[in-house]
Amino acid sequence: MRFILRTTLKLLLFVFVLAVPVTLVVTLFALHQSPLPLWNIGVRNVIRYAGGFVTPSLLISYLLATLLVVALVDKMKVRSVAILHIPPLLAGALLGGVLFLVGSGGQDQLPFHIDRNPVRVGVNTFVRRDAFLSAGDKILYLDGKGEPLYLYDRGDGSTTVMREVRLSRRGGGGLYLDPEKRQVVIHPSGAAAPRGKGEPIELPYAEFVEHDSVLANPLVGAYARRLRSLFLQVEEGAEHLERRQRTALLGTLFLSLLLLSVPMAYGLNDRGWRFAGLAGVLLILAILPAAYALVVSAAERFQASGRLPVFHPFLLTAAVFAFLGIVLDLVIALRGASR
Amino acid sequence: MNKIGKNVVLLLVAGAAAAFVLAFIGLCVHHAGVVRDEQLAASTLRSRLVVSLALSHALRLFPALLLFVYTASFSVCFTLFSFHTGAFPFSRVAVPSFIVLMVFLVFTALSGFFFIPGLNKTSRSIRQRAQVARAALDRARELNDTAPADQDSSERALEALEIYLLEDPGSAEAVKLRGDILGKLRSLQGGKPSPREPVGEQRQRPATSWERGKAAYQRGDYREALYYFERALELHPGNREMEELYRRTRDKVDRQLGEITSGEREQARLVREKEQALARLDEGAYYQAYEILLELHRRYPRLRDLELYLERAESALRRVDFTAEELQRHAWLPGYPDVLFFDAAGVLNTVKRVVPWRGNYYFYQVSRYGDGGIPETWRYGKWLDGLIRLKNDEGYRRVPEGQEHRFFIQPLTGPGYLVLVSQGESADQLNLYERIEQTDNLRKSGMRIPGLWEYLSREIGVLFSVYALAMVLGGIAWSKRSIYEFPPLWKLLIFLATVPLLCFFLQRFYTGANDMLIYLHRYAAGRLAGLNVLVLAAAVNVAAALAATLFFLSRESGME
Repeated sequence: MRFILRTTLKLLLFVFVLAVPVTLVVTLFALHQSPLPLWNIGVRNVIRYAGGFVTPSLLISYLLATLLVVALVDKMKVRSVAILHIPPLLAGALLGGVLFLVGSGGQDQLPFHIDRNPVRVGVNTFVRRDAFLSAGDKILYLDGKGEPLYLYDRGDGSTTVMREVRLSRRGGGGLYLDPEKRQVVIHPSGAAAPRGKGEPIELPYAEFVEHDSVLANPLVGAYARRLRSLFLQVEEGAEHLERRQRTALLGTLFLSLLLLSVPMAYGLNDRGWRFAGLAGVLLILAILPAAYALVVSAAERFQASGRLPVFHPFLLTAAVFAFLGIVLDLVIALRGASR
Repeated sequence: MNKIGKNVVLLLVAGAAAAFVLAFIGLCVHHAGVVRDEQLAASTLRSRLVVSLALSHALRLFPALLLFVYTASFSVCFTLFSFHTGAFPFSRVAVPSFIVLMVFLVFTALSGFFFIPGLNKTSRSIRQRAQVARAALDRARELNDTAPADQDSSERALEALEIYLLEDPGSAEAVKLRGDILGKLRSLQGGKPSPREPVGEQRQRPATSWERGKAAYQRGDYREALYYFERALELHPGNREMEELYRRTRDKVDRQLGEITSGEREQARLVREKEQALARLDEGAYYQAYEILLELHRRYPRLRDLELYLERAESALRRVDFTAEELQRHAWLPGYPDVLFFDAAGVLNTVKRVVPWRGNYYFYQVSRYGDGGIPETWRYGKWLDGLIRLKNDEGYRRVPEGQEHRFFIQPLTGPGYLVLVSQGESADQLNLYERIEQTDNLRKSGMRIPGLWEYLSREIGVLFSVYALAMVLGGIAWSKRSIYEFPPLWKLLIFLATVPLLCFFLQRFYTGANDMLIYLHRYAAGRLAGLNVLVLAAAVNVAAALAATLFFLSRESGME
């Protein structure tokens, strides 16, 4: 009992320690997918956007904390691998209860709902002052005082000069955003523009995006794409269900994930070389999304074929994972807690 | 140093070297594939480019490699072989590994400040040379295929091909093309040797004006001899032998002049004008001398001495001026497109193309946007003595007094940096010394480059990421180290597959967090009375490093 409580406490501590960096990473991942320049989005926007990712970030932190605690647990103190499932369940129930009490989920929302808080952008988010900024086939320069604005066209080498730049105003000459079309509009009315160049210049938000962060790494990109497609797959599969059904199914799915990952992490935890457990956590994190996507897709195909119409694909997936987890538990129990 | 200490140093240094070499080889393979897609014309440049790109990339990865080496050493290596046999205190491992880490940090700092920018610069320079070589080969092919063949296009083709051959002398295609062009030239000249081919007489050309004058006199080229004797007498006034030969030459020239000019008056006028031109040349009034000599040369094209004096005036003018023909001749060379910059007067200058060639920088289609916003456009510009001289199609012409601001651009930085101003990502080739010297001017010119303090804050972030993470990962790895003589193989494989990635991402996340700190400085600066970003970054990083050091030193010898 003491071991269970101590492990649960350790797990909760890990969740709180990991929550902030995980939320930040998840938020930056999400922001990186949108066509916005991360370099000038502002701290307030990041915090506001991160607010919408609290629930999934907490779930990821919880999963990560579970894996770390199990991977680093002292095997001498573990009497049975089955007992090791209890601290994650206790911590999960506690976290779930807190999330339910603070009412993070509305009546029609998914348990893993993401509030996509809008990022408040202005012209200054896109246009950097006192430096040349490349956007598509244009090069912009906006003086630190806000004027003049120079707009160079790479195609013909001409430059439009706007002496009086009005920011965030629509029409009548100026520099403003069109949030519907997601573009920065420069209306050079009254500006010293080359002949026939008086019409508005529209530059999509995406032209201002710079990929120079660690998030632009191809490996990170591939992993993020896999996570995103998995999340969309789950979201799409659950959105047509009733709330109670949805909660039950997604909860089962998540629990099955725990049921599988706990014995995996425990199996990689080596009594003689405990760093192997840490390396094992990375391996589990690397393969889990791919394995989940594979099983969910297979279950969907299986269900679509009409051979098992009773089961929802998630339930089937959960069953597969739970079965694999129980098999692993049994193997570990039979082999004993060697090493 | 004791045996354990020696082994620690050996393992860490050998491990870092091995990791670096392996990374370098892997990156060579990766970049070879990327460069192959670029289709560089010269194969010799390709291998140089691959090596410099891979080396720069490997040096950028070095912090992460170092973290992996430390993690692997503390977790596995320091428990194997001789380490496994006897008990030893943690300090025997901690102290030498700390000293080695300091050495590696110095190397990381040097590579961040100097080696990586240097290699980036080399890579860009090789790419530029490769572009020139490719353009030269294409031009040579195109000119050679021009029908009907003429001497001018064949000579230009040969000139372009020689540029290519400088980069890739062994290219069979280029050598064959050279043979074709030379054959065409020979046939066009009726079997005479090409003026570009080395001729014995040219190689043994006399070196001094006196010798050249004598050679010209013996050939009967008295006008040319006169030019050289005049120059020789300038250097050796009062030399009797020279004076005597000069007098004789003068007589012969006067007799010849009588045949060329229609009368005594014209002869006197020619002599007077020539003397005027020579006086202007001596005074350094090259524009005036050039105008007189050009006019004289037009009237008397057969007078060789006038031609030589005109060349002398032109050579002096080329140091302060240029002609449109010079830029037209180099217009085919690849260069930097769309170069924009602000000059010392705060005027925006846009240049459609800048061509660097053999120490010169040529500017094409230059527009200047002054106060009125109406551009003043020039077709050509050339970098001359710290300024860009502008002109349209005119030849050598003195800038009208008081109009210098129209005909010259005074940039805030050198031409090599100027071409980078509107290409912000090119700042990665500036080393520490250049950053200190140029950052301010480049920012004033409009380049998107971090300020010096911001740059230094980023670089110390890299150094502290190596230090703090090596301490933390080393400490954790030591606490959770292997007690086996050799760790379980499949777990070792998992370790080797995942821990390098962990080190890479941890190092990137640390530097990312440092970047966020630098970004947050804008919020903190107002409240902390203009606190310098470097001070803020250094304070936070030192605090992290202290915490990491305490954690590392708190490790014990026994297993947890």
